[in-house]
Amino acid sequence: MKKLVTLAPFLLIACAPGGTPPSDDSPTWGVPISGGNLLVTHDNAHAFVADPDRDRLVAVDLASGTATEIALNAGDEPGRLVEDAAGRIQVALRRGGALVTIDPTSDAVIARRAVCAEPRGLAYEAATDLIHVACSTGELVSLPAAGGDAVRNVFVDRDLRDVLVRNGVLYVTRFRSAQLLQLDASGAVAARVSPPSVQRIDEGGLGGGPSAGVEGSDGGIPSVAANAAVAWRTIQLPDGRFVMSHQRQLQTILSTVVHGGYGAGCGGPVEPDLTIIDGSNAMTPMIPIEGDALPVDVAASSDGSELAIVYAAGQVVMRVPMTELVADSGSATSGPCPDNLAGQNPPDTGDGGGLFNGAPSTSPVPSGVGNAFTDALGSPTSVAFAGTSLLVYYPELPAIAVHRDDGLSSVIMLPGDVGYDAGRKLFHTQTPSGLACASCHPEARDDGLVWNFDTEGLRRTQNVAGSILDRAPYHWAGDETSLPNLMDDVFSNRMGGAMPTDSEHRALGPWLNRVPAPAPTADVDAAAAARGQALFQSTAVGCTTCHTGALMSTKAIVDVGTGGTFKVPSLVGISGRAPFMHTGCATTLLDRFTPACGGGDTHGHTSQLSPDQLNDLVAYLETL
Amino acid sequence: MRIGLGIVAAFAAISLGGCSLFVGSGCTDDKATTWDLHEPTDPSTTLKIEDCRQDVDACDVLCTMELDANASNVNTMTGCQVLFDGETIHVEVKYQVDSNDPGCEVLGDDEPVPVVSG
Repeated sequence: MKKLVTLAPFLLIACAPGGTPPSDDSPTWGVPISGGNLLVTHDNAHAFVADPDRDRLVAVDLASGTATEIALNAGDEPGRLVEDAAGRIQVALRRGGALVTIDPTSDAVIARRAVCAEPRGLAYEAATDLIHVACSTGELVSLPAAGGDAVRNVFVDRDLRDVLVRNGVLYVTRFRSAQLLQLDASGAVAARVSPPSVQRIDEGGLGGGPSAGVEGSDGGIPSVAANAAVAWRTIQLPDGRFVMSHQRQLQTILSTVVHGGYGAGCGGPVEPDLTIIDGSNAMTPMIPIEGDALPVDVAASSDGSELAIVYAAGQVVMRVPMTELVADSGSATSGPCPDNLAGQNPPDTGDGGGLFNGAPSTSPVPSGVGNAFTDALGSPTSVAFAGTSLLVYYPELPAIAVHRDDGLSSVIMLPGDVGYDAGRKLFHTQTPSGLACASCHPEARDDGLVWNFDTEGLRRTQNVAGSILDRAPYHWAGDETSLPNLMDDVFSNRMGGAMPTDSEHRALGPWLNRVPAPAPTADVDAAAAARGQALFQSTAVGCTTCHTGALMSTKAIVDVGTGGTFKVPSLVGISGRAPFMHTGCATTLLDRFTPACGGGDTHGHTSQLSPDQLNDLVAYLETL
Repeated sequence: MRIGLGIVAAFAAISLGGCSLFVGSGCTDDKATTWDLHEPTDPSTTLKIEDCRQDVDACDVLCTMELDANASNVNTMTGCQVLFDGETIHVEVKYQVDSNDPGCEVLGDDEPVPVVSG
């Protein structure tokens, strides 16, 4: 068999840790995958990796393979990177709440500026020499690239993700809703668009469960809507258009009782997709080109002729020429097929595939476009082009795989031990349903979606971030008594994955428990919040009967007039997880206080409150 | 620096003693083979070794990789044991291979079964 791979002469093998046996109190490793942690400088000479799992940056000389570690503070969790006109590297610290600036010659941190609680996307605007930082908590902060205080801080909306600059106009995406917001000169939202819904052929009911398909107009083929969600990454193409790598939610019924009831094979309830956005904000969804889960990053070649997408859960990289992308016409099509139908196992690492084991994998690509392959180096989280070479970052090793246009590949091993956590691994493992835990709980939070279950009806995805170990029992009704029970039921039974191992049972809780709840909303009126707090704590309103303590929850299972008995949910970080209530009937926190959705006076006593008082109550909730 | 000897083992439901080949059900033969890996290994193998070193439940991936790369006609992996001995890693895999006995036939799922006559 033709050997496609050459070991780079500069290969650095990471020192392996000592042979200590695993134990219950082993420290957890790594954070939820967010993607988009790799930057290649404009001269294609260097790569910078933001390593959120080790709280550091790594500068790599691509000619020599020399890697230089740049230490950050514990818990900083570096994310997006951008290069400014002076060659400085600017990095968002997702949990550190800051922007750090790296000197391009010394690889030293030359500035650290507080920005917001949860920085996410970055963009550099050459015309103004500003770095724009989008925050999950709603702010868009603009700072001089050379240093100094922010020159503008505007509140846009919660859940901001990427920032893009086109012809002097700023755009931001929202993560869970996959919206694109065009901003005016003042930072106000001038336009708000989402990838259009498309139709998928109904596969006859997922997992043998009932079908939600309706007879289509084109020949009577039952179809279901597939709505855009979870915009992992949005980038700008050289021609100015944007491309968004996101998920879609199929509007079907999920079975909680049939084994594999969340679906199997093609037609699973979540699929990856690409949407192209032109200069007038027209959004063109593409026929999906790959079915693997967690499409966490996308990159474009310098001439815009090719895209590369990494699917973290499927451990697959897809390269596709732009000319092979096909617009989704709107008629029902089959969904993409997961590459890894065997479920738990990563793609073939024997002599049939893998960077160091022979030829690229022959993963199925339904529409026959592009080239999918696996490097067999773990979950890829980031991808970038360096000239005609493609770079893929693998955090566990850690390493960068370099794929040259002449077909040769090599691996640059980065300094540091191999990272492993059984909980983290399980959370990002693709099952036969095409789902990973992180598909519906991206970044260990939630997708903001409401699902239709055969036995329960509508249920909004619950957020798993924030003191998860203290929040048992789980699920809306509190029917999952422990995390291991939940894992067995959901991961194995519903998603069709293998039964979690003892290590996974032990590890997932401690690993998830490190993920903090969403930070409060940024622009809350303090006076209003103080008035709202007084109302919240008053016996007349009665919120603290159930919502009390550190979790703002007694964890009791109660009937508050919303259609059944439910566990009192924690209110910590609640403003970051709309929509609200178990059916998602409240789009906003204020909507929760409507009788039709919130249970009326059975759910606290709020009917006597004036509109201003309800707004105060909402202001307080937004500070939690 | 790694010192001493560590053993990590993962056994499937059917665990067989000994390493010699013997007849199993009549349509599969049981085998046990040990492959030695010497560090440093390639990055893909390094990842699997280190996962296994930290989590016994992750060793199956390493065993499966060795089995896929070095054995043929494999029906089922039945046992997996990994022993860390300095820079050498002993990967012992127990597995069943199809016997190709003329008394067995292959059904649709490629599972050989005894032919019952009469």
